[in-house]
Amino acid sequence: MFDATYFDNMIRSVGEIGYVTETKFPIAVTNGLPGARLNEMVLFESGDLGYVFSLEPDSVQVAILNKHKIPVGTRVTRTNKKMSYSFNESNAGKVTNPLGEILVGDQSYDGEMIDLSMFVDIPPLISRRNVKDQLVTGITTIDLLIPIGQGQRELLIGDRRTGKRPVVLQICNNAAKAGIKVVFAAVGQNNADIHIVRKFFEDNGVFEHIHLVATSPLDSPCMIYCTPFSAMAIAEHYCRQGFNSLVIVEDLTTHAQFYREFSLVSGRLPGRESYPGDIFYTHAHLLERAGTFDFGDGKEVSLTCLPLLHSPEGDISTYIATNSIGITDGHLFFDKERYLRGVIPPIHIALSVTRAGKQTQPQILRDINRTVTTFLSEYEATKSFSSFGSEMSDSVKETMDKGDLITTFLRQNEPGGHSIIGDVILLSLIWNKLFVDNTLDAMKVVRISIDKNLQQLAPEMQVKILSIKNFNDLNKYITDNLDLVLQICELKK
Amino acid sequence: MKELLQELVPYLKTKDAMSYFVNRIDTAILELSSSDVTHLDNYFTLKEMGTLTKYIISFDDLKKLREELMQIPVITIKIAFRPSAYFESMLTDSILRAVKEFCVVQIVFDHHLLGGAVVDFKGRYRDYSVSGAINEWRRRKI
Repeated sequence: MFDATYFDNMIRSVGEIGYVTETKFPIAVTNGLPGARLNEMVLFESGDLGYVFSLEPDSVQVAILNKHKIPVGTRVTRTNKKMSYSFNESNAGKVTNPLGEILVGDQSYDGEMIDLSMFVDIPPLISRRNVKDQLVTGITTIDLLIPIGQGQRELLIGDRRTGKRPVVLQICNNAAKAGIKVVFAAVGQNNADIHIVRKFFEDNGVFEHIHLVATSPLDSPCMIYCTPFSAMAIAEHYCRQGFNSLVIVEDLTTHAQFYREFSLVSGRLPGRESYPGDIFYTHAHLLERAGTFDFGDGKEVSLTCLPLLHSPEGDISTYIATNSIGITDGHLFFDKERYLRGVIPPIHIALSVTRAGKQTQPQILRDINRTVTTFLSEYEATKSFSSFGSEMSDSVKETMDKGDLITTFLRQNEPGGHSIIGDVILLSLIWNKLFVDNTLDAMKVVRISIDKNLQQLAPEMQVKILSIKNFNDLNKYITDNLDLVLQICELKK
Repeated sequence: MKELLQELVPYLKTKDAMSYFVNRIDTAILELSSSDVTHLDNYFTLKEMGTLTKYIISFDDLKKLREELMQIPVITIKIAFRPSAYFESMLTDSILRAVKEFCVVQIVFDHHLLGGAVVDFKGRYRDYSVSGAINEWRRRKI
């Protein structure tokens, strides 16, 4: 039960009052509050919270954050506080809402609470640095062919049910294990989906290192709108503490739809597809907060952002999709057709782009990337011609066999990430026809063997491989040291 | 319209008087439902009609007057005792003289204040009550 004296004390300290004159849930129009500022939190006498969404000449539009409707005539006062997330270190491993209230998990907390402002200015250009380090995701397709750099904004776009979330969860898992601070924003997701995410992190033992900020469709649209901003505020806080961080926003389509809902209610003019005119600004302002920064202490920290986006029927020319593609530094396209064929992760390599990732890779990985991408496009073309049933020459047959093997090599439908060095050795064996078993299980056994034996049998090999400049030299190195490599892979000649 | 409002000031000092006046305008608008304003004397007193007939010549003027009246700011005074009619009138006059702005006064009774008054005008809130002072004193002591 809300304590009314708290409201009275707040009015006395602030010295300003307003009355609700009109309600159009989730927007309340109030008079008074002459000193109200944009994005300032306000308190209703019922105990409900809101924030100043728009300032009119004679009135203030307040976005209601709770689920209740506010009756006309309700008193309201300012709080002299910007919209903020009540941060505490112990919020990690719990499900919180965008205000920092714990929804699932132990309600107790240690240490002091810090108010992190949700809507802040983006870091200036002078503090930005180049994206230099690769974000090791554990997903072979991404790590080898469409690399993501730490500090990059990479969009994950695809139809519903194309396996975007498992990929994202895998990335979070790997990042958390690598010491990167992970913040997962579940924007207007069903409670069942939030539970799946939480369960995955708990099962993998990384939930203690992950902040899960969640809203369900039953929450106020204004609260849902704030979810990614809260997540970004947490990640920024970690960056300023000197930690690299990763923000996942699931998903921007839902975010835009809820923003459209209450923006239309507030009377703002609709634009294309009825989205508000400032939807591009809103998403750009959110995603521009990611990057690699030097906040003046000489230490570079990164804030990587991976927003998800639904593209109905694989259409990437919708308003929000084109906006987001324009804002981000690349995108991974999840192809429904591949997914239905059982190719997991169903990332369409030709339609996916990374604008900052390749510069973070060592020279050898860049060369592998170039060689394999070229080969795969040749393979796809050959495959489409082979369907005509004409007799294949030996070279075409060889291309087809190698392409099939590499396609299987890129498939990954089991939990747990792949190491880059294991991928590189296995790929080299496949490329040189030293490994021809086209089954996922056989490749999995080899990968496990490499991870297990490499450090024991040839600790210098990883450094040596990553220092090689091109793929041909790597193949030569592997064939020269074939006995050792086969011993590491636990394979026979 | 500004002159009309100034002439109506003596009739519209309090929020109750204002509400009563606006209610009568609403009734007139509802019942007349035409551009004819010759029968306004059914809704207003002779004194009021003397002022209104000078400025209200069309139905739109009446609607405009209603809109203007609705925008007049209200100054709310919360006091700890139920005032007599004389005291209320005296308090209203003195407030209007002090404010020097066209507004209407609403006097509210709240015994929780114990003494003094709480003023609320154009979103500004000032607590000069005894209970407020006690609370402040207690807060500082704790």
